[in-house]
Amino acid sequence: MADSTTLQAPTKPVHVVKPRAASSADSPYPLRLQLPPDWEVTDDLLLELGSLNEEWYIEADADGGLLIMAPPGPSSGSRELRIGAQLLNWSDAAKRGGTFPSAMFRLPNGWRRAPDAAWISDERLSRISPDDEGVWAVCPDFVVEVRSASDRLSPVQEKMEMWVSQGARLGWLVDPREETVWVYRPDQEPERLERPESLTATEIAEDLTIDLSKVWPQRDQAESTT
Amino acid sequence: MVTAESPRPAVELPAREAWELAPDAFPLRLQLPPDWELTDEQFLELGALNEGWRIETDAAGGLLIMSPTGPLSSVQGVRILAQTLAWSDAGGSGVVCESSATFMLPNGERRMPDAAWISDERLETISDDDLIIWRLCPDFVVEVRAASDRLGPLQEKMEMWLSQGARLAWLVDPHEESVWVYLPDQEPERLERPESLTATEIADDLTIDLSRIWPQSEPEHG
Repeated sequence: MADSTTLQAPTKPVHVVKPRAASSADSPYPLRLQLPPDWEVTDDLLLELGSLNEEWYIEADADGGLLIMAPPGPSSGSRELRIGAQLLNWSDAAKRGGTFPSAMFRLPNGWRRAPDAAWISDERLSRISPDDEGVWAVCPDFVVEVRSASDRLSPVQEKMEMWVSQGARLGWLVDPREETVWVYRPDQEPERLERPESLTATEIAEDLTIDLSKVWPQRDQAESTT
Repeated sequence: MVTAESPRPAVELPAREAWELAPDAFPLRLQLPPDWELTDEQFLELGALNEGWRIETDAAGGLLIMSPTGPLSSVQGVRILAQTLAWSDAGGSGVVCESSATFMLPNGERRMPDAAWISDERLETISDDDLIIWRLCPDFVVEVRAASDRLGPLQEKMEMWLSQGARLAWLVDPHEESVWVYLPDQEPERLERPESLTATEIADDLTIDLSRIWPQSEPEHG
């Protein structure tokens, strides 16, 4: 175990840290920080907090809580990009709606959250100003979340439930670790799919098909070589 | 038999890569906007609202969020505190604080040491306005490294105590079975599993028994 490499450069004394028990390192994210009631977290403030703390993803709940999350590692980031790029290509080609990575949305329940990938219909886009660089008071129609290595499953599942309860017509939770996709629809139990090669978002459009084959961890090298 | 501490119930054991990514996540630093100036009252309110997390501030407008002290480090901290208190009471000198006391240091940081001793001389500098946060640096500080504490930030914190006026500071690391002794303007000295340690810089008779801090040896060691 090369745990010493995970330490930042020691300031003065140099010595090696031994690996610890897994129980002590249960992923703490999202970490919720309750702010005092008189600290109003305006949209501008939330965005400023985000830009001041680029090493964290920061969202807000409706009760004055900040949700602090670790950003995705390189491999999760690449998976998000793969899915987001296909969404963008379809949206551009079909001339329908738009995709907005890293956008922050204010949901009807007052939470402000940012999905990994989202598509918004023209109808919903018409409700907001396209020049608005702040938080958009709209729920995306279609949301994709990719579970990253530091994400515990249950907070991501709760986030998916929130998207569909707050107006998303479709949500996918892509879990590369479990090699599954959970499909969320309003008022339905989520549906679990095992390592689908591709998936069509029929609730959005019959031709919106996302290739997921490169999202999954590669299996035995022998299988993929001819 | 002391085994690994478990500060949170294991709801869902994370996959291995999760804790390899964030093996020692704390302290988590959150930079606040410059116009968000924390008063002492707000600082204390923030701490009270987030029970379980220990929150300090640095001089650059950052919140430092520490993980809760696990039961094991709490026990170890109390062992050191109790001995320091007994010495202070017997000798009639100074006061002892535990980790819920906040100190505003000359550099503007608000910090909470696991254990601190403050001399009568420094206590006299406290004004009547300092009822909730003391604007002084303790003379003697002890920090006990918890399982989720990254060593680097803790070492920086020790350096900070010295630079802000502490005359002596100990970093007790039960995981490494060592104590780092910090003195002003000196490189820290590492001691391997000392049975006891005397804080001669504070008083010749302030000796802390550390033998029960260290993980117990296996029976075959005798």
